[in-house]
Amino acid sequence: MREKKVQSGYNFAFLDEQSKKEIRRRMLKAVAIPGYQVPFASRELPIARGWGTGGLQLTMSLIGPEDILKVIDQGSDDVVNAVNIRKLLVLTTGVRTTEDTREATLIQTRHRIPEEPLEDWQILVFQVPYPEPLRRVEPSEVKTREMHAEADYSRLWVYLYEDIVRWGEITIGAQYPVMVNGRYVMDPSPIPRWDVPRLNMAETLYLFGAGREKRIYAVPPHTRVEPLQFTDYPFRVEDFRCKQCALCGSVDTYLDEIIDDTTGARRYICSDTAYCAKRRRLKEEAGENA
Amino acid sequence: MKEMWDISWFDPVYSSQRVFRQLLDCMARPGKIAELRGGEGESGDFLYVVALALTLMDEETTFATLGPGWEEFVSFCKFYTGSRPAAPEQADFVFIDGDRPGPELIQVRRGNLLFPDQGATVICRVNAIYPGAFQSAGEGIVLRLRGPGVPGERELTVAGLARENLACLEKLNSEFPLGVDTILVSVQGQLACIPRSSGMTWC
Repeated sequence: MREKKVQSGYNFAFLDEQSKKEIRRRMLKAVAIPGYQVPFASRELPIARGWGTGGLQLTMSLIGPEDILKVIDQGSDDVVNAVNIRKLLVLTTGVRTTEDTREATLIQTRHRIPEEPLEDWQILVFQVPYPEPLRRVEPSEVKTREMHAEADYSRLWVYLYEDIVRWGEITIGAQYPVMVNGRYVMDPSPIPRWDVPRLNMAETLYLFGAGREKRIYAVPPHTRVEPLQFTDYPFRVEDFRCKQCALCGSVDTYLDEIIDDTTGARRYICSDTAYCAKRRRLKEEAGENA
Repeated sequence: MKEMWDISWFDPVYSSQRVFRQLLDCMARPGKIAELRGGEGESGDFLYVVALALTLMDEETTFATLGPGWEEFVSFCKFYTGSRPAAPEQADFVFIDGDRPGPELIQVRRGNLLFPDQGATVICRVNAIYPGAFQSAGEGIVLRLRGPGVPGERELTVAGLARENLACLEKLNSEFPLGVDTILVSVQGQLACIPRSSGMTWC
């Protein structure tokens, strides 16, 4: 889309090579132990911790001059977090960027998986605020690590059970805990439930980076990822029946609810803005040809 | 053949990035084969082992070599990567010749249940790696891998890999998540990975 001159004075992709090396070694271990949180020495970056620095450090250690980069925040390419991360990466690498999911080799995302199918030549990097799925039942890192070591997830199951007793169903929306490869319970980052089934037996490598919490984890392709559920209370995704995107008319995408400030009217639009725009463009072209 | 100590061909920024992406792709898809070989089509006894060492190792890491013939490589690594030699049971990276049975391999670090990522990475030098079951030469071992990253089952044929070493790796990885992650690299520049998450049979 744009090609800019690389800013001199920085190493390629900002991070120094020794930092990249460490992050790369951790990434390989994360891939070899699916769902396990590998500790790493999170570096200082020109953006504050908690604003996508984990994902950014993974992207910086992955990216090469041939990559085509896409950065999204909640499905949108044009939100401030995505724009700033993209700017920093372009400034220090000069790579080509795109909004088209089907064109990108490397996608950094905050809290969404793009709607269009991802393939084996693509890598999706998630920004993770809280990597520990057991944190809601246990505040101590030492204890949660022990619980993972022993595959002792009973307290999380009790939490889910109590949720059902209290509310009639599991109330966790985004950040729904999943079991990876039958061994580790993992936090899939705050993606909506809608995206959780896309993690299971995928074609693409998923990498997760938590900068403030200093953890890296991964889901390799063709890996079992199952949301925690009870047989009588099965996992379900968000319900968009009888709703469609006000812009492109889609009925099979994850929708954001927009409330009009003055009239109070509710509208729904696609959360994946690039896909929505593509659908509208295709519709227009089809209309012209008809 | 290039001399081991001539590393002018290896760019610390761009070559290591390229090698790492191939490694990551192979680690995420066990048994998939990548070609490290560049346009010049070089091969060399240590060329691609050196490329992996330059990509992964620095002064924060330790390494061990099993068996004879690695002396020059050890001094190379100390000088060019800053990595320190260590005993096999302590090293982060363990280098071994695939065709030479190395009983010391069984002592390699497997990590612990709190930190299974502390298990070592085994870099195993072999003669050649081919996709699929390809046994016409009669010298290769056919490996069948299953598990995360593999749709169903993936086969590859490795020449220059002793069954004793495979048995050792299988034993090291019998208690997931404890274990070691293996990188197979051939003298011709083919690369394949066997992470600890892979189930493995061979014939």
